[in-house]
Amino acid sequence: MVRDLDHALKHVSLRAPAPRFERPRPPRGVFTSQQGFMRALGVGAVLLVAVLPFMDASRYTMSIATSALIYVMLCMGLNVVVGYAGLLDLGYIAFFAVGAYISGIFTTVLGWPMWAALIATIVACVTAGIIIGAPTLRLRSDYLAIVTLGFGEIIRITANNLKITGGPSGIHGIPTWSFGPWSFDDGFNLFGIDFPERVVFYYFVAAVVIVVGVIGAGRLAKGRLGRAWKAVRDDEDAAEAMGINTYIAKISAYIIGAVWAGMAGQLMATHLSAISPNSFQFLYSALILMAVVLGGMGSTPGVIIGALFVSLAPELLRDFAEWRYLIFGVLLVVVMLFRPSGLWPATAVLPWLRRTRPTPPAFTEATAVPASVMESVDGTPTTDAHEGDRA
Amino acid sequence: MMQLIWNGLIVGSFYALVALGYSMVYGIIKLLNFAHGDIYMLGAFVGFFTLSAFGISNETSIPLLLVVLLLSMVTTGLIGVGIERIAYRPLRRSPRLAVLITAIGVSFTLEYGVRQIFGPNPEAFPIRLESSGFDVLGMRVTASQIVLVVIAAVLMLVLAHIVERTRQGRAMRAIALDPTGAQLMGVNVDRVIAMVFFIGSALAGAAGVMAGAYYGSIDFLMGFIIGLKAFTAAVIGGIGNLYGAMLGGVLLGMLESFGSAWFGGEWRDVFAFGFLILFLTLKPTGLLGARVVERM
Amino acid sequence: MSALLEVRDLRLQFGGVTAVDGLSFEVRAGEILAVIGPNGAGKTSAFNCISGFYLPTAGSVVFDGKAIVRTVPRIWRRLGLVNLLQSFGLYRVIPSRVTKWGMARTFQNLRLFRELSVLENVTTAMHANLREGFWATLLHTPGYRRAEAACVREARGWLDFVGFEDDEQLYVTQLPYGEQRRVEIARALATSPKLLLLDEPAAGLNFNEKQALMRLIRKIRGLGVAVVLIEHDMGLVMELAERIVVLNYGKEIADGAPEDVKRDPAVIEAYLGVDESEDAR
Repeated sequence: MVRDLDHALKHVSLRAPAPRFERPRPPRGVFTSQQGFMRALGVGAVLLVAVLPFMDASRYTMSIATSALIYVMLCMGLNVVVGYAGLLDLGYIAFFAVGAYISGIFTTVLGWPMWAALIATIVACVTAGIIIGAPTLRLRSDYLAIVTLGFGEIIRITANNLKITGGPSGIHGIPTWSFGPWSFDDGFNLFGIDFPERVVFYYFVAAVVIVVGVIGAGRLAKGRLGRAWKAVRDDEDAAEAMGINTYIAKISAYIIGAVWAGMAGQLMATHLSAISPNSFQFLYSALILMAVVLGGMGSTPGVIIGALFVSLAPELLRDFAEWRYLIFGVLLVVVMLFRPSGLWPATAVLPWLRRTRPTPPAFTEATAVPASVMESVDGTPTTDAHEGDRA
Repeated sequence: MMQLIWNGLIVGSFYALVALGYSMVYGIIKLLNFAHGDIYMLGAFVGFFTLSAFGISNETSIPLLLVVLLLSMVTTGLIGVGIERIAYRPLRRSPRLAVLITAIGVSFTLEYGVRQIFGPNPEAFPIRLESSGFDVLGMRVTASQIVLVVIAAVLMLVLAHIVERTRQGRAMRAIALDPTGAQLMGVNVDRVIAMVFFIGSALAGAAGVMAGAYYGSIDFLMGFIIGLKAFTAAVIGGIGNLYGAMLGGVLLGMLESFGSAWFGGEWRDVFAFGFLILFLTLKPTGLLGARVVERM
Repeated sequence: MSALLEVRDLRLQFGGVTAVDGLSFEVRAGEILAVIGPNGAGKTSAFNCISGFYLPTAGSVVFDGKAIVRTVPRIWRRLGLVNLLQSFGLYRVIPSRVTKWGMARTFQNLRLFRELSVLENVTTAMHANLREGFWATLLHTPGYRRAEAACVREARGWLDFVGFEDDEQLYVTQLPYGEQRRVEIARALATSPKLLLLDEPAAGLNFNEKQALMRLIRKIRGLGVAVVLIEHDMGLVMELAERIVVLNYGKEIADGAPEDVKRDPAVIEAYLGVDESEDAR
């Protein structure tokens, strides 16, 4: 254990004394722990996504489901920026546009294969994230909001005016993914079951979204970087005082968000095979933000629910299509007023696991550590006899 | 050349009117009121609605314009107060992110509310100012343009008088400096903030009516871009500073006018937002803004 | 023994107000120093300069042989570009760097991360010292798991050290005030400092909590960490501090052992003049 510490912590002059007692391993069951329950829920969701084409493989369903998944990817990316790092990005769709256009241009004009265009997309999104983030992330959060809004408009207008982006009519005939002689268009035959190209693509999108979008973002949020993001969100000065370079933390969140959106943009460009500047209006930035806010900022299940709601609502409630933006607007205000943490708050604890009053640790459990090493602050005062010199 | 300056001045006076509201609200409660541009749009639609209700169309009378202007100002002012009361006041102590998101929600509600009522297509504004003009100093000036600039100037002078010379204005400046201190000194903070929203929204409403009369057509998304531009203007001048907002508005109008002459009209907005980013990077306090030490 | 922290002629002006006016003192490794003074004497402002949050108008701060206040070449001052350059991180040392060098601080009003659990609050503070790469986090490599486990263990060590006995999974807002103070100190310690700045650590604590705090501060000193505290509670300061620096109106008026400072006429005058500010505590 001590060696692990030495490896994990660098150039540390001061090391904590060993804990007074070893904590019991937390429960890991499906119904006895939050983590186990969420994991089971995740597995269930993945299974649902996997069996969907066997229930209904029609072109319409596959198309909607693919779009919904891409929305999930986008919302997970925005969640990193808004939910974890607390930076309001109102031009998030611009990164989606950068992804879609870069992949569109590289595959049609330059004729690159999709996977090569993906690398170009990621590079372009990182660059775009730095260009827009570097000057503005030093400013207060509300300035950032409006600058990103302006940036979103700049990207859209630029796409509308340039020749290489096809002007107002956009880019057509974007090819799909291909590996050597085989491409997604050829479909797939496995164990006698025929997978048409749309289903193959749906599976591909689902795999990317789940693995990269959901699991990847969730893992980043739990690690060192994610803690830094949340610290910056909660209190920037305190975060800075804790040795977190808040500028780097913010710009990293911004870049991650940009890359997620860029990948989503590429998937969308491949899915629709045509893109135009009209798909990248401010309206869509606001919709994604709504999905994140309604679902619960910083909460993975919440954001997924929000994304599905926002992307599927117009399909399911066709009669309300006219009214939906008005409803979304009102909903946004109502949610912020009455339930600012969203439908499924990030801090939600399963009701049957809710802690009431903490149980103080029993002294009898103090085992591994000799009593002389650690004495309670509330007990006898000690000025020496500690492990400080171990470092 | 002179023509460009004159055109810039007219557009700039619209920006300045909207920017004033932005800047006042920001100065007093540190809120970026995203819905402010939509108040401008509402002003235009209130004017449109009243005039249509009386069956007026294709009118060119300037006194009528002034009447509609006043009516719109009062209505949008009250709407602004209502928005503050319903959406912003309960969140005054919440994190900044929550209030910003609420403001987006309000903006959306206003835009698509108007869309549901008046439809998605642009409407022709019933008052159309005549375009006959005369040439001065090598620029073409119309009487209506002069009227618009004069109205804008008068409104700004009145505002400057209110803020600098009246009790209410003093209360506003006190709250901007220190809300708690002002409250302790017996200032009714809620009422003063409501008043700021009234004045700011009324100015935006006035700008909306004037823009409707100037451009001739209005639609439910017309407030979005101008909201952004007004913010840019407020930042250029120094956000929270009234004269800064005026200066920034006029300056941005000119910059745009020259920018579109040099780079082409389709790049006008890119040019303006580019300036916004440049300013925020190099001089976030703007031209007239004081350097603020952020207290911890 | 050379000084761990050396403050020379520190001066800070906000607009027309001089918050700190030529402050000089030094802190030796492993000592407890108290900075006292009437309200508004510029104590917290001086702290903020030392920890890199405020940029002082003049003076030098050297910590552990490294300059925290950088001198800006005169040409930039002439051109009026100092603020711009410093906003880009040039000619200044940002607070996170100061923390990495080994100076940790707490805040006058509790500034814990409200939406993180107690344990996460402490593990967050280990950010700078934690070896955990981007790809390792994404792929959950064995190295990442070990680092996380080590980090949690270290955090628990600090929580136990400060005598925190509640549930570590609680959100900090669910804790009573005294416990939050402890967590804040644990969090500062987790950055593994050589010098700990405590800004009014005893404010709002009751008698028993103050006694525990005093024992804790001695225990921290026992780890070899120098402690500088701003405090209004004279009893606590006199009992705890080995040396006291007294400020008034941004100026240093006394520096010495508690017994000497207590008898210093300038100090008595400063305090008697504003007697109620001391009694108010």
